[in-house]
Amino acid sequence: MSDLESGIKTEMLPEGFRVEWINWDSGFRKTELDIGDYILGVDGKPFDRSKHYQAVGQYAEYQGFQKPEITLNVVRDGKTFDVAGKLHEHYFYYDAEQKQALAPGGPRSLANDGFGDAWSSWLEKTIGKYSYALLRMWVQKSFNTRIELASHLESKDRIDFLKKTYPGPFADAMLEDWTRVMECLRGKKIELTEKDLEYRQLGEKRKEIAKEEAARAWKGLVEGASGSPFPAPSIQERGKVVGKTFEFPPVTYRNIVNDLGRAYMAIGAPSDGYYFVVLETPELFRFYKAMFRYKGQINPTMPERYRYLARVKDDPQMITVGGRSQMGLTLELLAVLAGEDECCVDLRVDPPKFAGEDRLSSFEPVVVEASAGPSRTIEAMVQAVKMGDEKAWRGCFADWRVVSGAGGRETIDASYVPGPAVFGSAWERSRKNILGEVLDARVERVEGIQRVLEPSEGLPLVEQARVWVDHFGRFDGEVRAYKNLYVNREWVLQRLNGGAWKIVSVQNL
Amino acid sequence: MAEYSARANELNAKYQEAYKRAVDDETSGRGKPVVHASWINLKLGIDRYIDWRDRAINDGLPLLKPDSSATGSNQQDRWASYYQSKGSEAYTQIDNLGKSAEDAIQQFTFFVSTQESLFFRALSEFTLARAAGDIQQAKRDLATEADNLEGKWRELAGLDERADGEIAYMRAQILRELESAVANLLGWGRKAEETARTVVNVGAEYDDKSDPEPSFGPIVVTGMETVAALQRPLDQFVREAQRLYDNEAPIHNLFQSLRTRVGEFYQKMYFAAGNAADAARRESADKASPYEDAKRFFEKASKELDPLLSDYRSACDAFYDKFKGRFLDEVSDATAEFLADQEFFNKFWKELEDKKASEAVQQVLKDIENNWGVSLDPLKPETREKVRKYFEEKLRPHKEKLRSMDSSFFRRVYDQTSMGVKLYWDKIKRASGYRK
Repeated sequence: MSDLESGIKTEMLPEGFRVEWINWDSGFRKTELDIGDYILGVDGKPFDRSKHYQAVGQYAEYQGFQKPEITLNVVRDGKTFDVAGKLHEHYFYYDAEQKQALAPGGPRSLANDGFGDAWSSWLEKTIGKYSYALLRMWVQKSFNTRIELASHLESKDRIDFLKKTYPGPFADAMLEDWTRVMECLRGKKIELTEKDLEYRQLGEKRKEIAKEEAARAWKGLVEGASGSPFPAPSIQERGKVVGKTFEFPPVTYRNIVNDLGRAYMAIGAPSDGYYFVVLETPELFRFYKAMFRYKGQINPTMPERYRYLARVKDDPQMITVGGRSQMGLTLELLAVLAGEDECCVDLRVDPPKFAGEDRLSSFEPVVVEASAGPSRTIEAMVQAVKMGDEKAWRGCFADWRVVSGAGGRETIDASYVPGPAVFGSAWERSRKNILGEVLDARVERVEGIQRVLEPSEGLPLVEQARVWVDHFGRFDGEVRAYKNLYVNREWVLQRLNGGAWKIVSVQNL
Repeated sequence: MAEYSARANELNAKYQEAYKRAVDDETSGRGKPVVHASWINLKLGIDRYIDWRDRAINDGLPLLKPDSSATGSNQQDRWASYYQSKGSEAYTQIDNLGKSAEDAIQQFTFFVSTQESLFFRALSEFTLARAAGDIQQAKRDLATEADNLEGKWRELAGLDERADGEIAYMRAQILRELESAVANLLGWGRKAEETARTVVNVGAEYDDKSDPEPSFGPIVVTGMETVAALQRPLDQFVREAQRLYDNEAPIHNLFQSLRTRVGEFYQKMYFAAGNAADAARRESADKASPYEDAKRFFEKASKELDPLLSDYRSACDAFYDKFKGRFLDEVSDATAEFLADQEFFNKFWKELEDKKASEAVQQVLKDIENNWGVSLDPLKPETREKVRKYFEEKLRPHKEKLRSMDSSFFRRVYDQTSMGVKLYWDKIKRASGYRK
């Protein structure tokens, strides 16, 4: 048979022959076959890799063709299927003046119609660009989809010209391809609600609301308080203050003292006398629960600063403060105003809540069960970055590393622990991203889980998965996925002996 | 001979097995030609590694002898860091033995390097170093609290001394007033005797229409005043003593509270080190369990905690002895006396008795009843009777007052004030606290 062509371009990879492009006039153009599919064989016969050049889409594919219609054996995302299509002899096209053209009626191959380069070289470059965009743009780290999109949009003029001047199946196919690449570069579109973006207001708007509520609540609470508790009376004159309620001045962690194995907050000064708050009481534990909710939901970086509304107890104690013994009465806490006067908790209410808690919506932390898949770990990591919870974020990363042995095999170094500097910069970049351009990050897909190390002779079973993450930003009024140098789409996770999935290399979101 | 020989023997056996398999594969045509020099090189490398391994394992032991400034977490960090770095070194050493070597050797080094890194990771997870650091921390905490407690004792003593100072001031004032009152009472007695003599000497001229001269009225008034002046310091003594001992009550309550807290602290600290060591030994034994050499190393490392524990127990005993009788164990008599001031009270009371107020009262009363030895005989019988009745009538209230200040009166004053002191003494002696 004379040389037959499939009109398909493929690249040989370990998984098979990946479809790079399907020509506009290929017998497989309108079939189920698509760019990115892997062709394993023809008519049930696998390709002989020692003669790879004869495989479909390779430079000597014609040597492998026996008949004009073939069935390709294809795999896509792990699923196999067959695609039947027609081969054809090489097509020669001419325009009205019988000059060689790209398609019947034009454009002429060697003309440029006022555009920079000839149509034939434009087509070759364009197919290369389109193929690259559809196959690699979202995978290669070094590309910026928005810049590529801008450049692609600029090329629309020539497509429009082609469509107008040389209407026909070629122009239709080019427009179709141009549109497909545009959609690919534009990124997946999603809708985000105010609630989805509420996390971005952590520390700002939500803090403002909480602060207003706290101020209102505190004002009401301190209304019945007595004057100033200072100077603190002597132990013999304590009757002046015992049983009375006061608002005490702010204290920080610097006021905490440890005395005979117990922790106290020492409020006062040597010249003014002291009052003490015992720090391990049921009322304080109730306060901490409400405060931790506040920190988790509203402001993770709330400073450790407290004002107390408290009743003075008839319980003098002697505590060492700053190396000197000081006497003072202990306090029964009634309410606490914490941080920059932003978190107010009335301890007489059961269970205690911070002021405004009912008004502000809450986020549930993503809990990763040991049996959960790798995408859950990524979701937990994203949530931790949104919440500003660095500790939870660190917990998503492995404390082992993947290394290549001398034989090129990947293995684990179980003694490896990532250093604080590595984590520090990745965390800052992640927070910068999520509070900047990145409005959300979601798992796009999980590639097949594979066993990297088999359990034997004391070695653990190591399984690995690759998770691809979409990052979403706002462009032209829409929220779409995008990629640039500052975000990481590809995440490699491993687990040991069926345990929890962990991210194996520290990188930013 | 390697100290940690289990792995050495295992590696040598594995090596022999791998070598034999490679040779058999070559012979049968299944495998590639064996480069024997590479295998010899590998064996030499394994031997060098085993030597290095023994040293690497033992060289971490000094981390279980932390200096006095160590904490549990920084000591554990040093330990983990050390063994993790050794794990990476071990991995690299073995891995390098397979570089550019044939496939069978690379397979061998691939497994062994990972296994060794896991072994050192297990060692890095021993928590004995944390326990060692925690014990040092606990020892420092004991020393700090001992200093703080001395400060508290001084403060308590200072408070007590301030209260005692007020009592001392009151004591001086009362003794002065009492002495003066007794002198005045005795002085009055002499004045009254003089007046009585004068009445008798002048008496011959009295008729029954008027009182004898000079009048006893002013004398009686003065007499009542001297008795009142005598009673005042005693009343004041009772009031002030009560008030000032009431002021000491919070000091005694503070003392009790401190004893309770010190007792709890001591108990917690006494067991802290032992508990930390036990927990660390259990955790570390668990980490060591998959590896014979790790188990052997664990036995050695675990013993390093013994001298630290012994030293710590001595520190606890020294702490106990320092505060025994004060904040720990039974309250000593010296402590009870220091805080309740019973001896002071007893001394004060003796000083009061030495002013002989009771004797002065009895003397004056006796003198009045004896008419100061002034005989009425020079008077006419009817005048004599008149004067006698006059004296009796005028002095009756005074005599009643003096009679009321008999010895039982002074006993009551003593009882009222000493009871409070005794109660405090008992309370302090019975103060609860930790006893070994």
